[in-house]
Amino acid sequence: MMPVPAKNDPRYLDYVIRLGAENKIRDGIINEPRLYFAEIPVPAVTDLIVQGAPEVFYNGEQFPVRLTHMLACTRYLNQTPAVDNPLNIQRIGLKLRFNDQFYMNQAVLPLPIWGNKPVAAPEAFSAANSHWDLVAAAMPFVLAVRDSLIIQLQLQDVADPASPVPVTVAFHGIGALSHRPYIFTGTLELDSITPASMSSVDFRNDGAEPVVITDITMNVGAPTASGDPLGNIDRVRLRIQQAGHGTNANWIIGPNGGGGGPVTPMAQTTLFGVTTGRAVVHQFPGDGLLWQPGEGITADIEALVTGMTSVLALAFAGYIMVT
Amino acid sequence: MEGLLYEPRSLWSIANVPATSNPQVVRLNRQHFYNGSKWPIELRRVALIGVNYLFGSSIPTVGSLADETAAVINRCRLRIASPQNYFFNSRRTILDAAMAPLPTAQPPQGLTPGDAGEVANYLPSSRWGQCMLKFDNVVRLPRTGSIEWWLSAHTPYPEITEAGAPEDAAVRAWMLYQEKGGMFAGSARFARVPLLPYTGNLTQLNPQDRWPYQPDGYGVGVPGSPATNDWWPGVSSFPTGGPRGFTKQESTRSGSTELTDMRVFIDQLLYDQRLYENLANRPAPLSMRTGTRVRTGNSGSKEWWWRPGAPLALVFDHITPALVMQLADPITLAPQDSLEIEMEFPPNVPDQEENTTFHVGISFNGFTTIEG
Repeated sequence: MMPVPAKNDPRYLDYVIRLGAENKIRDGIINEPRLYFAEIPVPAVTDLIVQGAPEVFYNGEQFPVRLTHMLACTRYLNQTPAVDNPLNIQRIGLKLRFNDQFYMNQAVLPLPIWGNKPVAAPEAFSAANSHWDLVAAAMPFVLAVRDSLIIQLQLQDVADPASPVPVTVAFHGIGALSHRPYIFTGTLELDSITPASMSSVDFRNDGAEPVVITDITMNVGAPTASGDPLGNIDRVRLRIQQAGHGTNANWIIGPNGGGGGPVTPMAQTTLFGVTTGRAVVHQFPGDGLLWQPGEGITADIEALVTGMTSVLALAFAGYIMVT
Repeated sequence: MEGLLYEPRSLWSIANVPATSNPQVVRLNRQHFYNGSKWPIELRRVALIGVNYLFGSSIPTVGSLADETAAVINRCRLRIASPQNYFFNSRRTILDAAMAPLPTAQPPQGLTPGDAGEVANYLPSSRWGQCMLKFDNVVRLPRTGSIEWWLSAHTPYPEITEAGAPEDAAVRAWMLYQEKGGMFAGSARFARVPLLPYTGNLTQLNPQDRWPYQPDGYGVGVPGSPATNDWWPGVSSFPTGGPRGFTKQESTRSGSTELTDMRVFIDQLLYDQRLYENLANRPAPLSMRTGTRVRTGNSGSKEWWWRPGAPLALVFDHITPALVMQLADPITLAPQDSLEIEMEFPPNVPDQEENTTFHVGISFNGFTTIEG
C-alpha cells in the first residue's frame, strides 16, 4: 500500500479519487466502513476472564472485511449506572484470539499499552470530538448521486437532560468528477434519551456527480442551557447507514438491545475516533486483519484490580469489501 | 545475518540551569552528542522536555493545565551545529524555529463535563501513562538473538518522604515489544515490572546515570516501602530469559524476529493520587523521571542504543509527553563526529520544585545502520 499523501499534498486529490475508483460501482465492488463493537461489563474481581457478547466480533457477511484498527474506552455509564471515570481504562486487561492464535500475547495486557497511534486533538476540543479519516485509516466510500445517509443518535444519560445536547455529524468528501470539496453536515439537539434520527436531507448528495467521502467527524456540544465550554463525546451513541447505493446495511455491528441498549446497535461516538479522539487506538500491523466470512475474534477481558464497575466499550474498525 | 541491520539511536543530555534574573546561554556537554561508535547515526527528530517538574496546579480548570514544563520549553531558544555538515541557528523560540512539532501527545485530561466529579478532584499525570518508541526501521533479530531493556529507579519527590506514606509500591510498568508475523500480522512480548524509588546516594552513581537530581532533599528512604539503592534494579528490567523472558515469548520458532516498536505503560494512578493529596499539585508522568537503556544481545551492535539513563519521555518519542519535532533534513553523524548544542534562556524561568535550578532534557533521535 503506498503511503497516504498529506492533505495539503497536491497528490492527495488524485490519490483519493483513485481509491474512490476502486469502489467499482459499475463492476459491483463496494467498500463501506464497518464498526464492530461490544459493551462488556468488567468483572468486579481479578483473574476472571469474560468475553461479552460472542456474536458481535464475527463476520456474518458473505464478503470479506478488513479490520484496520481496534478502539477501546469505558462506556459513559458504568454498571451502577453512573458516569464512569474514563481513566478506568487503565485497569482493564485484554487479549484477542483469532483462529486459536493470541494477540498481542497469550497474557492479558492493560489497554493503554495497546495504544500505538497518537490521537490527541487540541486541548480545547479533545473531549468533544471524534474523527475518522477514511483515507489514511481505511478506505473511502462513494456517496452516489441521490444517495443519502441515515444517522440515528441517542443520549446515554440515565434520564432526559435538563437542556438539549447538540450533536453534529459531518462527512467530508471530494467530487469524483469535479474534484471539488463537499461537506455534508447536520446537527440535532437531543432533549431526551429516546433515539432520534438526523434529517437525511442534510446528507443527501443532490449534485450531479458521485462524492468520494474521505472523513467522518462528530462533535457533542455542551447542553444549551449550561455554561460548560464543551460537551462530552462519550455521552452519545450513534449508528450510520447508507441509503441508495452501497450495502444499505447498518455500518455498526453490535449487541442488540442487551443491557438496556437500543434495539438497533448504536456505538458510543468515542469509538469513531480512529484518527482523533479519546479512545485508545491500536492500529493493526500492515494492512490490517482480513476477516473472511464466518471468521470471528474472541476478546478476553479481565479486571486488573478488584471492585471495578466499568463497562468496556471495545470496537474494531475497518471496511467491508463487497464483490 | 547478512545485509544491513538497523538499531535506534539517541543522543541526549539534560541542561541544569541556575534560575537567575539574567538571560543565559548554556552549551551542553559535547560528549553527550558524540558518535563514539563505528557506524554512522542518522538523526531525524529532536525531543525536548522539562525534567523534574510537577505539572501546573490542582486542576480541574482549563487555564491551569499549562504546566511549568511548557513554560520552560516555550522560552528556550536553541542552536544546533554539526561540524562540516549541518548548521541550524535560531535565536527565536523553538516554536518559531521552522521545525514541525509532531502529534505525540495522549489526549489531554482537560475538562470533560461529567468527568470532574469522577476523578476524585484531582487529575493524574497523564490519561493513559503511555510511552512509545516506533522504530524508523525494523529491528531484526536472528533466531538466537535477544534484547536487553532496563528501566531505572526514580527519585521520589521530596514531599513524599515528608508525608511518610508513599504509594510508590503501586507503580507498575508494562514493557512491550511489538513484532511482525503470525496470523494477526503481529504479536507482542511483554514484561510487568515495578518502578521503585531510589534510596541511594546519587553522587555515588556513575555520572552518566546521574541526572539531573541533586542529592539534597532527594532519595531519602522511607521505612516499610519498597525501594532500592540500585539505580538499575534487576526487577525493573525486561529479562532476556526465564519463564516470561524475551526468548520464551517467541511467537514462532523459526526464522528471525522483526521488531517494529517498543511501548511502556506506567500505572501511576495511586502514586498520582497520593502526591496530589500531599502536595495539592498535579504530578508529572514518571516517564520524565525514569531512565532507560536498551541493547541487543547475540546480534546487532550489542551497544547501548543511547547513553544509559535517558529519560523514557526523551527517547520514546512516538507517544510521549515531550515536545518532538521533525528535523527538516536528517543529520547524519559520522563516527567521531559530535553535535554542538546551545540553549538560550530568558531571565526568570519558573521553577517550582527547587527554586534554584531548572532542568531541560533534549535528545536527538534516529537510527544507526550496521553491517549484518
